[in-house]
Amino acid sequence: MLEVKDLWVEVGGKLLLKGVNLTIGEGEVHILFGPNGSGKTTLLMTIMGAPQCRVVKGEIVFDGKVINDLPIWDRARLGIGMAFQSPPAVKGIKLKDLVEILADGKDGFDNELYSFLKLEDHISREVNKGFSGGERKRSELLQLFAQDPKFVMFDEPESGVDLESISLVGDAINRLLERGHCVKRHPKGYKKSGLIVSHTGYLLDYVKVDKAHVLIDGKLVCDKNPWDVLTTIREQGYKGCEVCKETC
Amino acid sequence: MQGDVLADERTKSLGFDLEGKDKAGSFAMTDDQILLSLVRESGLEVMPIGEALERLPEVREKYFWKLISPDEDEITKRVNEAPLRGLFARVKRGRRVILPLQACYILRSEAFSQIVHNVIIAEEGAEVHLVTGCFTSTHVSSGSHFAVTEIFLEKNAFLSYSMFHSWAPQVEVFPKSAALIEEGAIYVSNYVSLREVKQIKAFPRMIVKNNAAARSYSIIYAPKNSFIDIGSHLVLEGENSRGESISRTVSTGGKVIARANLEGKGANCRGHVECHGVLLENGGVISAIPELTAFRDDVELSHEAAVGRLSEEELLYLEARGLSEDEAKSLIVRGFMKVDIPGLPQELKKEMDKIIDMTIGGKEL
Ligand SMILES: Nc1ncnc2c1ncn2[C@@H]1O[C@H](COP(=O)(O)OP(=O)(O)O)[C@@H](O)[C@H]1O
Ligand SMILES: [Mg+2]
Repeated sequence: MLEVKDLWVEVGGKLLLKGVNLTIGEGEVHILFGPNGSGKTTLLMTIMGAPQCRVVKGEIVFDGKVINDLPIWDRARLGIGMAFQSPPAVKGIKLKDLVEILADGKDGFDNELYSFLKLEDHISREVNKGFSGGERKRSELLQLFAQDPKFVMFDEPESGVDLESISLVGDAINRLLERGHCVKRHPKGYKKSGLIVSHTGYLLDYVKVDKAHVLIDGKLVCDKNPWDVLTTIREQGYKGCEVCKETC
Repeated sequence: MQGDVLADERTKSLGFDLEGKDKAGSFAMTDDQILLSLVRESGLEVMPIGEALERLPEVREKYFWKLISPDEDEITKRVNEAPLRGLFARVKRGRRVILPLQACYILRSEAFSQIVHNVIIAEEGAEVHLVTGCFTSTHVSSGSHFAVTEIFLEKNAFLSYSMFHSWAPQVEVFPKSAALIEEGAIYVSNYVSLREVKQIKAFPRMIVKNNAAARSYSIIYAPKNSFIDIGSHLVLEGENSRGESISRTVSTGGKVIARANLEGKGANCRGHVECHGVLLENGGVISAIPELTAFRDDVELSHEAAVGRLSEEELLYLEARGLSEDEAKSLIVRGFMKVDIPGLPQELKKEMDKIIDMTIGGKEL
């Protein structure tokens, strides 16, 4: 579904990604670890098409098509979606109105999602305005349900969310990606894929993840079982990954 | 003659239905002719100002030229010298009229100079929502409109005055209004101008007495070649008086000056100014000029002003959801202009939002 080939990216004159390779197949969900400031958000924003992330070299291929030159909205319309790490407040637009715009013309959006995501009281408020950290994350998920992309990137969906609510975020991701015990097919015939950026790995308790990657020094190291990677990081820190990288 | 005005698209687009079936009353003028003056609710009086002066002696004694002086400036002088035309409306003590009272001022002849003098009164405890639409017939491109409007809110009254302006490129507009807001009364003034216009200058004055409140909202969309100088002057005279002046201006090439002048004179009075302006295209200019003056040590006045481009971050966010750049801009701009106005009847608020949607247009999302 997604193929990133030897991607070099510069932001504000600083080279942040230095040859990232990543392949996520249909129906797969990957998790991306990496220290603060290693460029995880930059990678997601580049895939999404944010203009400040300048691709110096390399290709982003989605569903067999090179999308390097497509504007953000065209990528979104192809089926790429993203839950922002720090979503902005959008003044003057009510959450419900935005959700209705996004869900327009698609079936499958169920009003029950408002209560599922505990956002009944927020839908008549301006998008994200005055929302707490956890509320913003749930607002992201709600919008993605309405948008219904086939490949969804989640940028630290559990950060700022209290421990009790992490299971809700996990459930929501599973439902969004149509992953229960087995991966379901979307009515349109495809299985959805995902890329989750995580700091903590807590979500691994809730979401079945196929592969883990670690972003260090602008490159992805590792391509392994998520639990093994998390254990290494927990026991040895990201140093462990660097060592592992050399021995791999 | 009435027929062609009624059929005019622009009249309709502003939500003015001259028949006024769902209105408390209707008043309409084309050029210097009074076309219509009728009332549907008891406790409400609507008549041409000339008739009011003849029939009701208190009008001259208490209201006419009492808030604004005829020799205040060029505008008032012109109005004072011109034949007397305009609206007199009064809501009786304790009457709460929720359906809007509509007034239309239409420029029908090319290069005509329309001059009006209005007097509006809400007696003690009364409520009224006056909606005025000022526009040109579709074939008219130039002309001018001068207006003096004196507004009186007696004790505990509520009066909202919403002005929708839809002029033509060569029209110049000088509405001058003043409101006296007596103890415990609430005055809401909305000014909406969304089309190209050569010049609008309006700086309504509001005098706020004890425990009374004035709120002024200006919603301006200024296309190329428009010059709009607008704002409000709030004199917070009374103890615990409240004032708020909010403007949302968008320029796609026009020049806008958004002013606000708050004077804090009464004990414990409070006031706030918000001037937000967005430039969508180069060539436009927006100046926000908030002015605050405190005359006592227990006064609290504040302001918040921001002018410039749309937030890149918000645009990117919406684009990542699949909205094109234009769609995202139009959505943000429409949201920006749809200010929440407390106290305004739902129907009126919907009408305002609809007008904004229709003018800012963009693709239906
Ligand atoms: N506009 C910018 N200009 C320069 N440096 C930036 C800019 N945005 C982010 N950075 C830097 O790029 C690095 C990677 O950021 P980011 O992708 O947000 O990392 P992560 O998500 O892994 O924490 C950080 O050191 C950050 O400070
Ligand atoms: Mg990040």
